[in-house]
This record gives sequence, structure tokens and C-alpha cells, in this order.
Amino acid sequence: MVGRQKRVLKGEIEEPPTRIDGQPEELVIRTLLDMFPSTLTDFKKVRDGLLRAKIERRDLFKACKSLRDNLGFEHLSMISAVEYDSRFEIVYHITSYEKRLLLELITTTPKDDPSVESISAIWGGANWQEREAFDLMGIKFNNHPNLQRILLPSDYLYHPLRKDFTGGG
Amino acid sequence: MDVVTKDFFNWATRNSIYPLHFGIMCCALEMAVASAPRFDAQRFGVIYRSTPRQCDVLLVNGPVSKKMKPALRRLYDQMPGPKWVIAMGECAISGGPFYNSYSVVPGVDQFIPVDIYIPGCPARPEALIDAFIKLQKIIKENKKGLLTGK
Repeated sequence: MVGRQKRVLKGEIEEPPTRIDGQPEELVIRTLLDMFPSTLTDFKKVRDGLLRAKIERRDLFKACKSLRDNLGFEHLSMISAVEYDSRFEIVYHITSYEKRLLLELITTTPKDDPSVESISAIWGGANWQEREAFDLMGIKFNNHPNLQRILLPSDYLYHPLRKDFTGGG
Repeated sequence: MDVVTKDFFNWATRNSIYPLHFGIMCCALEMAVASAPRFDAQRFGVIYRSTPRQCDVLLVNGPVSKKMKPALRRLYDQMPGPKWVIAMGECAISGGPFYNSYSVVPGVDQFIPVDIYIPGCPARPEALIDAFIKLQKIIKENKKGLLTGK
């Protein structure tokens, strides 16, 4: 993301900070927290233009829809699945060109049921990204239009990026 | 009639080796530079064609993933005989750095008969030209018995 740093020349008076609602980061934080007060946690402004939040998986689809429709996040740039000892995390990088924002939305699934709602109905680019996460990590995306393997042959048996996968060759 | 034409056909075949223009990874760049002015593989009659129906040589240059394997096999089957296969670089020979991977076929000779192996990672253009000259010798000696010749 491009930071929006103002250039302050020598001798010029620095402008006073604008009102808090004028900052797009604060606006997104407020709107989302108002909508999902219980399921949205760990909101953090990492730096200018980069936000991070965790959301429970039952509200993911609704949150993404309101992000696109109400807050102007028109682009999903990445979906990634991460495996930890006790859980899977699925990371969505959702960006807004107009506000120059990147929102890193993290949702968690338990190990024995790695499934979330598919968001390919909201951003079409999520289709293949979710297929890749399914192929390599075995995350099930509910209501996906075509959840098949994308990188490996369709008769492949394993999800090779999982930690319990030891095969090869 | 064979007595008259066999040497001519052999000479024509070995001096017009047409490989398939099919690049997978970094060896494909060496393949490209081998036919550029500095190395100029075209002086040996090596001209890259874009369809397997016009090719004599399948030049496999790079790791073949398991998903690509049926497509490559089909390209090989579409080439009219007599045909030869060159495995260029470590990846095509044995999988190279990806020999232990979950998605790479360890060696293209597992599903396609390979005539010439070029080691190197990536193989130099001189090595590729050397492989074409060796292929010319193979055609001249006619080990496969497909062409009439010496």
C-alpha cells in the first residue's frame, strides 16, 4: 500500500490533524465494530493504510458483503490459509483503491472442521484462490461454485501443505 | 529406389531438426538464446515450430508437474515419427531440486522415452547445440531403424 504521508517543507506550518471521522481507517473501524460488536476482535491499525482484524467465521460472509457494498472495498487481493498447532487461519487481504486501504481479515477454524463460507459470490477473484486453499491445505469452502483441485491432478489424495503430510516424490 | 533416396532422406532429416517450441522454466531461456544471433542454432537447421505436427524433437526443458504430465504425453503422441526427445537440464532428467516434491514428476523419462540427456542447471546454450549435434549423429547412425541410412 502507498502511504499517505504529507510532505512538510521547512518553515511551513504543519496542518492540524483532521477530525477522526475523516480518516478512512477510523471510519472503517467504527463501521465494522458497530455492525459486528461481538464477533469482530483484535482490531488494529498496523500502519497508515493497513488494518488488521479477526472475525469469527459465522459472520465472515456478511462482513465481506458489507465491506464491498458499504465501505467501498472493491478488490480482494489474496486469500491464504495458515496452519497452526490448534487451528487453521484463513487470511483475506481486501483492498480499497479509493481509500488506499488494505484490510487484513483473519478468520479461524478448528482443526477437525476446516470450513468457511465461500466469498466468491462477492468477489469473483476469490474463486480460484479458494480452490487453491482447498487444494493445498484442505479448507472446505461452503457454497463454492466449483470446489475442485486447481494445481494438482484431480486424483491426488492428499493436501500437501499440511503439517502432517510427509510424502513426496 | 531406396538405394537412391535413403542417404538423401537421412541427410535432409538430420539437417532440419525441428524442435517443439515448448518452454517450461529457466532452461527455456537458454533455449531461446541458443537460437539468438550469438549462438545461432539455426545454422544446424534447428528451427522451432509451434505445433507438434511439424516437429521431430520434443525438447523438455524444466520440471514437469504431475498436472502437466498428460498434456506433455499428448504433445509427444501428436508428433509424427520418426521423433526424438531431448531432456534438457536437471529438472527434466531427474526432477532436479524438486526431486522430492509432491507435484513434480522426478524425471521425464518416466513416461516418455528420452534419447539425449543434457546436464546443467540450467544447461548452457553450447550444451544444447552439442545435444543437437549428437542427435544428428544418432540420426546418421540410425539406431532406431526408422530411417534408411548408414
